[in-house]
Amino acid sequence: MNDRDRDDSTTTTLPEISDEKIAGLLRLTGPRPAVPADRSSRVKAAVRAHWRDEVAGRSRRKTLWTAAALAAAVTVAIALGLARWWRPGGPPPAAIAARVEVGSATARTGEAVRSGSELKTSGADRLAIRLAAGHSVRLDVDTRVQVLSPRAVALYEGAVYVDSGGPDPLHAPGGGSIEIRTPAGEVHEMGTQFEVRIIDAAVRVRVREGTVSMDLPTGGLEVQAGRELEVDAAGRAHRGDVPTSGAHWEWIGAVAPMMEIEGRTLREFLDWFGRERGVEIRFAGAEPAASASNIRLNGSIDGMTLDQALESVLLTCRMGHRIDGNAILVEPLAGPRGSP
Amino acid sequence: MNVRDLDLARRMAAGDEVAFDELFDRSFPALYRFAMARMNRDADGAEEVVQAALVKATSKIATFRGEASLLTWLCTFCRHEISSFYERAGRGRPTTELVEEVPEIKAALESLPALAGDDPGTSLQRKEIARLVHVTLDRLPGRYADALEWKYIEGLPVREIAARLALTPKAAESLLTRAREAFRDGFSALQAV
Repeated sequence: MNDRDRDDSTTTTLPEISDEKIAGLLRLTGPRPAVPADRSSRVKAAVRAHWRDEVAGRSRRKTLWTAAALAAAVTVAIALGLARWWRPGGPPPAAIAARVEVGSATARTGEAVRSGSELKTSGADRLAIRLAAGHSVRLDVDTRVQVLSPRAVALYEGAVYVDSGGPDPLHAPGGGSIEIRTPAGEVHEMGTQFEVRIIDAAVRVRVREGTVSMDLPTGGLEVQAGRELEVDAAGRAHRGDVPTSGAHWEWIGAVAPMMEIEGRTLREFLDWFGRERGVEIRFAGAEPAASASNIRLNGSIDGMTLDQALESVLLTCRMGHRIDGNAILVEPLAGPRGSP
Repeated sequence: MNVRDLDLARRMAAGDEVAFDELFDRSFPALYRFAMARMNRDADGAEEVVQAALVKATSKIATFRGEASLLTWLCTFCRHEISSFYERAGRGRPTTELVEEVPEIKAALESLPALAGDDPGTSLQRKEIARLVHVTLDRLPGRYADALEWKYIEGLPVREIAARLALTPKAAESLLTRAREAFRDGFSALQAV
């Protein structure tokens, strides 16, 4: 026993583990492993932000209740539904949940988006982020979301479009499916491209590829490609058809992160373009199809629109295209070789 | 009834920032170690699930009734998040055998008091013992664990511990006594698994 130990007034000795053995045990095992300060501070900030929202949400809900007492029973039911959802208590995982791919006035391209961060677009800009789980999420104009985690995004206003990368293992993200939380319920993707939009008090889901499921208080509903589901404020679901390309999806292309084409084949570029536009790529014969797999591209299409990129790339490959229904037909250019 | 924890939860539900700091600072390290031990030391994964667990727990803090300690309550959220984490990733949860959860290892635990003496035992046993000691410390209320570590690992004199805890030396001595008793109870409970 050293001098310091003599400062202690050990008074209790139980038969099982004496005070001396407790001391020995603690010395033997050493201190508890420290938790990295950066992890602690990140999590604390995210949890605190969520907790503050919760507390504020409860205050709002109290106000809602007071107002609801004056309203009809159906209004109360809706208010309760909204209150249940109001601030989603979702898992906000890793430190950096996403990165901005196509920036806006409020978020720079390349900027890290941490779990719990809120992103907004104005009436004049859009934004694209890449979740750490690998999914591309695009924000339309006048949209407000909270990135809860690399696999969960809460949509408060406006619309988001999600591209999971599709079934192709080359493009599929490694982190499993993601969910979009809305006032009406949670939307889960299964290898898809889809849009979720809040329109007044309704939530609309449009699926371009694959399938999504939506968890509603009354149960789950699936939505297939080419279909839409709208859930109104009373929780009623309405289904309809929607084309998988065209004007409905035009805004997606306006905020598409441009592919880095350097060293990639023309085929890869066309596949990417087709996915962004929601169209099928066809070739006018076996020869252009084979060429597309062999031609390697150089340069960059940064700063171009999708259509400009298609024109430019095909031209450098001595090819052109025609729109053929819901497909793009790629064909060789007639005449002498032009300069790109 | 965990009156102190219940009070903390109620203050937090009311929006008390000090209560939030206290709950987080007290529980995060323990929850992080809890998750690390169950996730093959996956630090990013542990951070993710603990954050998710705390987010969900803070949403439901008003439902905490104090039947169990706040940390025990939080650990149930953490357990659930760990399962969800592996389900989302399409992987099975690691089959980490934790001594306090596997009754078959009870026999090994029975040797703990002896191992705390001069015979350190095998390194594997020592690792497990260390983890159990740390689990016990994490479950102690208030600043008990800190006080015990300062006293027996850092070797601080009681007057220094008293200063750190803003207590009189006599009160610090009393706290250390209670801390040892709480440790003994907690550790014995683990042995009884």
